[in-house]
Amino acid sequence: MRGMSRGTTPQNLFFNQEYREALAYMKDISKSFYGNKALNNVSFNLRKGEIHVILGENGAGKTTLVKILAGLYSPDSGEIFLEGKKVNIESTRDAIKYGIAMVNQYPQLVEELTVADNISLSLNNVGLFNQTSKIGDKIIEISERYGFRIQPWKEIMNLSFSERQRVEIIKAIMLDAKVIIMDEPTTLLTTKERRLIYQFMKKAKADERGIILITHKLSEALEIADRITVLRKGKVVDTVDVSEATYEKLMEMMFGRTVAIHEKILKRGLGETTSRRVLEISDLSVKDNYGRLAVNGISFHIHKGEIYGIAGIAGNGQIELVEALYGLRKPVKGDIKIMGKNYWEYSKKEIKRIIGYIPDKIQDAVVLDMPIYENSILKLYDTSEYIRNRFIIDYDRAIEYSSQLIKNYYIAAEGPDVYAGYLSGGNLQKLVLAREISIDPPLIVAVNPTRALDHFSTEFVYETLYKFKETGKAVLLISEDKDEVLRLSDRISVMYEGRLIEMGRREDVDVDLMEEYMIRGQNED
Amino acid sequence: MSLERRGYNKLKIELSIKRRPRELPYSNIIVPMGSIIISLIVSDILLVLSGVDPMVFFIVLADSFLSFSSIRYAIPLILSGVGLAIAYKANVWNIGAEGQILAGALAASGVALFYIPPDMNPVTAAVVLYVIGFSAGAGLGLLAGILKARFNVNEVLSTLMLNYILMQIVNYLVYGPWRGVREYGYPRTDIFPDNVWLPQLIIGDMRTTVNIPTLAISLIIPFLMYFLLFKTKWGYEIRVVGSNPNAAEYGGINTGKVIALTMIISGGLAGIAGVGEVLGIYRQLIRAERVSAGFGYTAIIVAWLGKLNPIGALIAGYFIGVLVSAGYTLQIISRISYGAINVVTGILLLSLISLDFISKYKPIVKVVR
Repeated sequence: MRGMSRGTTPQNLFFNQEYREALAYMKDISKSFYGNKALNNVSFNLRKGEIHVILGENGAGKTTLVKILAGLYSPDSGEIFLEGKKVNIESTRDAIKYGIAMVNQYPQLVEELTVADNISLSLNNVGLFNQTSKIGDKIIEISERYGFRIQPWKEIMNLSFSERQRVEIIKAIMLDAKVIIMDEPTTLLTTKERRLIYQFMKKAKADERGIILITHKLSEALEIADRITVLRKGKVVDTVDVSEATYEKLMEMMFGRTVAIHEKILKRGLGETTSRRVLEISDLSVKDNYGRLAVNGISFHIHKGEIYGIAGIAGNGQIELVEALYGLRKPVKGDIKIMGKNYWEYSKKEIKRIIGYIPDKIQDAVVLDMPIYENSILKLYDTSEYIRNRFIIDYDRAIEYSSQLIKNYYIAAEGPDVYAGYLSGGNLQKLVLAREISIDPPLIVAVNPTRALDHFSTEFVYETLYKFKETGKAVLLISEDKDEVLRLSDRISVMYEGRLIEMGRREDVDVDLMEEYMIRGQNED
Repeated sequence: MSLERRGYNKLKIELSIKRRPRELPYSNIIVPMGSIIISLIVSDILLVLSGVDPMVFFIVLADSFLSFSSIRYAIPLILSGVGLAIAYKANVWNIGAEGQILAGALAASGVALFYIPPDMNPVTAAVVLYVIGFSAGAGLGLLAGILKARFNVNEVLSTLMLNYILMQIVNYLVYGPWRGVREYGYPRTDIFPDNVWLPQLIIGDMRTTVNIPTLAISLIIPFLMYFLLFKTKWGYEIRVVGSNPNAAEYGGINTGKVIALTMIISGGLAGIAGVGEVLGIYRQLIRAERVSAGFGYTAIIVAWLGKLNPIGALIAGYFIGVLVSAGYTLQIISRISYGAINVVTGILLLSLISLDFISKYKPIVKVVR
């Protein structure tokens, strides 16, 4: 092909050895969401047989960049070249066709089907006849070669988190992907499981594949990478060889200054606690949807003016705990007291109003095909504040109220009549937070409240929760992000397999020990 | 090792869809209108193929737009269609309007035949019978609603099966115990006493089959239900439950109560339609197939054509009434069976669903090598 004469291709590209040989080269990529620049002229290249780490804070644009390569987003501007040829990736199907596969942070698999069925689905060979029996052998072969053990005939719902992740990895290999993107794959793994992932990446690299690893862990980048590209606020700071990189240097690249994370965490003073207990839980047990004991006899309490943080990896009973607390799930045994009164003394509706709840799945707290103003009154629509003539809703008032929320909580929406479905995940999260805090309940339960948020919104949410607690209210913070828990909470515990491990007041917490408990439920020694 | 040369040499057509960031503009009008146009054109082609002059269909249709017979058919379609729109808005899939019409007709007939004294004031009698008919339809709806809310029984199955049960009960009665003594053995009850007859519209010296009270009800109900759905707290609950049951539970809305309420409304309105049929048109209870005449199923199309908006269902109900009336005319003048009109409504529903999909998703067709 006479590529040089092609107008769309910059001439210098073909004289530049580096880019011609790049397995994947993304050039001057820009992408905005609702007016916010997520990526600003980012260029990135991946060589054959390398592990290329993309490093950056939450909200730096790492995931956006790889989602463009994987066909999940389309860039506003910029070009993508694969082995020197310009390509147009419009969908995940295109990406798969070009040999690009992404291993999701939260594996997206069909719970009821087996491993082989799930892989078969993505291979696009679902025909009249089931061909999964052939696939089964291939799965076993691949899993042995890369050192995973996985049974192709097991249903996904019986697999642990790390096993699910392996399914996604095997899928990528079965698709014969040349570019494998791994989005924070080790966040929720034990040390041993983490080793297996590293081992896989090294073997894949030896097969001439290119691995893109997204992480915000410096130590991981230094341990496994060949090259490291650091992103900050949507721009590339630099791409460096791992031999040139040090912990301090990367730190400075990521944050623009040298700060130890722990200093940042302890910047805030501790809250003054009073003896009044807002929430008191004793010996609570709750079952999950499958009838298994997800919460196993836990007890704790939260004072007025206190943030109680529960750290833990998803799936250790946190969701069942808060659902029982919010009245969505019946406990098997145990007592809950709120403001000194027994749980059953409150009606179902009252519970919803004395607990502000920001759920893990934010979509469960909003109605996407209703405008913001209707969403803003979800908990108050039948109170005297919004009801005229006994049953007519005062929508003028709702519109006025929601305009206030949009303004005070910096929700990116043109006005109160925008449908919630057109808001980004982060803005939905802010909308729910705004609504729940405005009800002014004595207790807020927040589950991963900043998961979908960029750097600035995260800070805003922290600020809001902090101010809320300072007015003498209580917050139960449940998060997978240990730094978040450490930064906000007055007292901390770790949830592991349905039990709580008290870590004590924040200043007494041994961070390494806490991480051990989160991953393993016990100290390694 | 090339990334691209991997056996994709054959020409292939790839179909995929992408969710549009926003629904297409004016889709609330374009989708129903577009599907009406498509269905009419396709149906006309089919009629031409079976030997009918291409213009006949449109002339008959235009004629039906101004006929009282269209209004007569529109009345039960509007009432049942508005009710179904309310139920569908709450994600309650009531397929049982047919049976609920019969329940209303059956209850009103029984009371009219055996309990209303012949000297009762006609207005009182009408009110009593409407209430009875509403309650019977609502009761049947509520039965399915309770089964769903309490025992998680799929309402599509329960309402559909109840249609057949009601049909058999009505037929049992008109063939058996309620068969009229003055009806020469025909399967129908005696004519009701005069004081329960609903007055029919008379223009000049032409008597129409349009009965005034039910027409009035079918004109008021859509606006009332619109108000209920979009201005009151009950309507808010219905819409939240329908759009996101998780959010409803989150907000403390009693989902079971909402399901029951929508089944009562939709069943009750169908029941009123049934009262109108027997007291306003036939003046006796006749065979089930002729009382409900498929209105309960056609009303499903009315609800969707009206985009689940009660006022939309009013307009859609009238339009489908025109189609039904045109179908009967067509049968007379061109020896085409009445069933031909079911083709129109069938294509209408199909194009409605397809256009609705296209307004929300963008189809992408690509030819790849």
